[in-house]
Amino acid sequence: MQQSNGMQQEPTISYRKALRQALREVLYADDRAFLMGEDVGRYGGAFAVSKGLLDEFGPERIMDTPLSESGFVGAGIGAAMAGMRPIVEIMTINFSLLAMDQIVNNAATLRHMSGGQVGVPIVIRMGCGIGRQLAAQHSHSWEPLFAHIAGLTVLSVGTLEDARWMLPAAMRSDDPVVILEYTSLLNSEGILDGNVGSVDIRTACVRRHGSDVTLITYGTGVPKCLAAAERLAESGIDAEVLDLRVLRPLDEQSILASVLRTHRAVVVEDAWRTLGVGAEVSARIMEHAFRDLASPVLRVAGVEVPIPYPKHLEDAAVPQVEGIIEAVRKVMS
Amino acid sequence: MVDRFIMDAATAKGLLHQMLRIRRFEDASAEQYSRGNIRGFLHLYSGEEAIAAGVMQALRHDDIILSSYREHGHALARGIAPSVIMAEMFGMADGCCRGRGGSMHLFDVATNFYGGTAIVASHLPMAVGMALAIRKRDEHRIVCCFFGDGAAAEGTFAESLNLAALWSVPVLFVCENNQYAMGTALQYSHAEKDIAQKGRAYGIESVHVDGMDLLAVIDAMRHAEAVVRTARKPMLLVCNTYRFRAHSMFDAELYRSKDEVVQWKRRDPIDVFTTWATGCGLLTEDAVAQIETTVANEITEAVTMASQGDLEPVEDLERHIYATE
Amino acid sequence: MIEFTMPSLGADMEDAVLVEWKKHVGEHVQRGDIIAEVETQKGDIEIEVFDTGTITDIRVDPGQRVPVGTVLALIDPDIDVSANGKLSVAKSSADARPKPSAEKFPAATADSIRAAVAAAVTTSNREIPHYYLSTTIDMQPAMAWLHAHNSAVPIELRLLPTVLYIKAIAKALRDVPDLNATWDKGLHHLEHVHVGVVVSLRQVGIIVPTIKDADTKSLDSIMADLNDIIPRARELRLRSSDVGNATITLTSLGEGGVDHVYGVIYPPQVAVIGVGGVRRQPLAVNGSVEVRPVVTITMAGDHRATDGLTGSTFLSNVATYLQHPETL
Repeated sequence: MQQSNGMQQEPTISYRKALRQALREVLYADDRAFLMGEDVGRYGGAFAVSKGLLDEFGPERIMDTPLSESGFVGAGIGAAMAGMRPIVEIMTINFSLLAMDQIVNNAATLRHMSGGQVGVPIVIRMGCGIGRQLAAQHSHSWEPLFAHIAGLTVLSVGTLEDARWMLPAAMRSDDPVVILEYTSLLNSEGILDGNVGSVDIRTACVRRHGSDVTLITYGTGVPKCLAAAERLAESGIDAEVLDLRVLRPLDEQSILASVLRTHRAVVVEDAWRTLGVGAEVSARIMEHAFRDLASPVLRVAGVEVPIPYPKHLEDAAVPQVEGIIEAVRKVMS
Repeated sequence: MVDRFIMDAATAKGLLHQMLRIRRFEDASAEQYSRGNIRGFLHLYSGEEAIAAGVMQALRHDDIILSSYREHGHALARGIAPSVIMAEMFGMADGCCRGRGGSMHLFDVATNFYGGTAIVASHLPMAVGMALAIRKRDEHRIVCCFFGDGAAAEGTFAESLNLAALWSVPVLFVCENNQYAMGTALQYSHAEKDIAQKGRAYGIESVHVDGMDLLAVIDAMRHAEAVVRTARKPMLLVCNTYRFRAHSMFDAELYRSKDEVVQWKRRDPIDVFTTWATGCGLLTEDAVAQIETTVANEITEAVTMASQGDLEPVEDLERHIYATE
Repeated sequence: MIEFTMPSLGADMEDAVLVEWKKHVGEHVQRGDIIAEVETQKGDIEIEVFDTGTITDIRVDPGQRVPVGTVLALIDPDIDVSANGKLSVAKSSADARPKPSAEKFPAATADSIRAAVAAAVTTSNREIPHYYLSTTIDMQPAMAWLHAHNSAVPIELRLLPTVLYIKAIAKALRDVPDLNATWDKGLHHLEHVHVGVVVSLRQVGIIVPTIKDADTKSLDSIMADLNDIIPRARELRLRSSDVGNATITLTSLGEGGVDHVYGVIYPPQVAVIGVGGVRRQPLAVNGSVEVRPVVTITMAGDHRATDGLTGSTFLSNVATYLQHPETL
């Protein structure tokens, strides 16, 4: 990490590079690990996450696959059943529907259906998110679909730290883990805390402490909520930002602990409102902390339309900082 | 043809035993279904026995097997005890999957039997992946994947064959072409009715086998061994066969004529083999009768054991979802 | 007494209408028999009985709709046949299929076949002076042709070597009419070529159904005849039109492992052809020794009707046809 000018400084790192470092770490750590997916090798990854890894690890560890999502996700499942530790990249979450049968009917069910005999230690990574004018078929926020499936662990990478450390943690799991990475965050940069050498994949994480209201979110909602919290602080509202990180199994304890302190909650997500993660979080707060609430839980979520192409409509279709601030003001009044 | 004569009496006996055990097990399954002891969907293998017996005899203990939802025959031929399968279908904790899978989901890791998958063609990619793991670790075993003619119409079939050939993995695809995808005859499902052509299109050596003739299946497996185990390449065997019973229990068979069923029953694989083996002196009438008795006892015992099994406690409902449970 | 109830054919089947009884009071039923037909929401389904015994009572009449589990009939069970180890070979057939074993037929039928066979061969042996010829034929072309043919056609159209033998014999008979004849105080030529094919009925004896006009029939049509007739022969369900009138008989032990089969002539025919199993053996081919599939074809002729030269011409014609299967 030596800078060419020789200056010693805290190195900044991009979300993309953090993901790549994570891949390198797990590929070095475990011979059974290999990465496969569309264009992960010769092309360098559709979003350049795996750039350079083919040269470093060779074609047996970095496998380009044909455009066969059901086929290669299923093959990853099979390889995991037979003792490997495959990392399967689905280029974007949009194409994951083509592999949904494999993920839902095989990866998630085999252990239970076989009475505990067959485990599927596979990691399935996919790029996702809305906001690059890719229109209705390439702008998906399907976290709720995956979070709905018993048998999966579903991770949402909303920070640099998680980009760097979630994958190694996922590789230690003996069960299928779906990691949702956000293409809109790939270029974001920051400084990694050198003291952090791992993260867990069980708990939610408070990204900003506050006492007046809890913003509960994940993925691209994390930077939006942090920005909203900064703006709210200017007007004297001290918002806590809770990054759910793990969408299944949901860390109910952290949610309740925060809400019991702030007594107010706003759930923020890009996904469509109906039956989304926000609906689930809101229901759990109602079930367990109803009497501690000073105001009903509000949701700021995607407008229920196929995401349109023009920028102004696309922006209007997903939560923006202003909308989050507005919702907070509502629960504070 | 002459090769066939190397089969000895013990082998012939074993093979007939396998096939008869499957036939009688399926009869008993139908009976137990009719009585309400087995529920869910039940797909019987009667008529296709020569394939399970012929393929399985060539596999080694460490080879991996995957199958579809019509898998009782494969599971039995692989050596899972009839009582354990019957218990699984009765939903008992004594079943191979502690009753969680039922008829369509038989798994037994001890014999490398990996299902029992009930989404058509969904297990083909898994078979390719397991073979990929084998290749990556330079193991000498192979994967054998059974599916039907219906599966060959699925996109996943095409993806899997392409991957298998592209990666050159040791997987043997065994297509049991019983002429119907549920109630839709081959000619209404496939523009190219020759399924082997589909394998060839992906660069996979593909051959037709008379699935009603155990000796033909055994012969085909000799060649498959050379291709898959020795040369480490995928191969497709298209075994032409027929299911004697309905697709599943609740099926009025509106899509096929009784006459057609009768025609195929004339080629009953068990009769064909028995006739051959007794005709050439490998089996005596007494030996056949003895096998019948043994099988009858095995099946009676399986049903008895299954009906005396224990149910999984409801408290264990959420066990086995994650490894840590 | 066993209660036979309306079966549960699916979780979504609540009841069904009894359409027809296939078995009636006093009738004996066997495990696997179709006992009745019921109408469900999916259509009519034949239902099978899982016990063996005699129907003593029928409780539900055709037209009645009854819930799953309703007692439809009572069955008086036999002694448990599965326990005494006396199940016959025939039971290996599929359930709904007619049982070919002797038990389903009066014992006299089986006995009479045996007796008829005994009488016929005794007469033949006493009255007909047999002479014997044999030739061993290179089967490479025939096997290759069969293989190519069979891999190009659907399973139900595949041919067995027997079909080639039948056709070759039939054509050779046309070439040598003295063998397509009967002997009754003189040789009488026959107009048609009908080949009798010996079918072995284990325990019981043999039966000889006839492939009529085998010389003019296509191979496919001969195969279709065999597919139709042999299973029925094994089940003793041949019609009178299926047997008799053969002008020659073919006895083949197929893959039974013997190399040479010498038959006994069925009077008033004047020859019987025997075909052994196909085996591999060294053969001189084009000046070098190769291991090839071969078959030995024999002929027993009635010396009163013909002599060795006729037989020899016939056999060599059969051999020629078999070596050029495309001409058959």
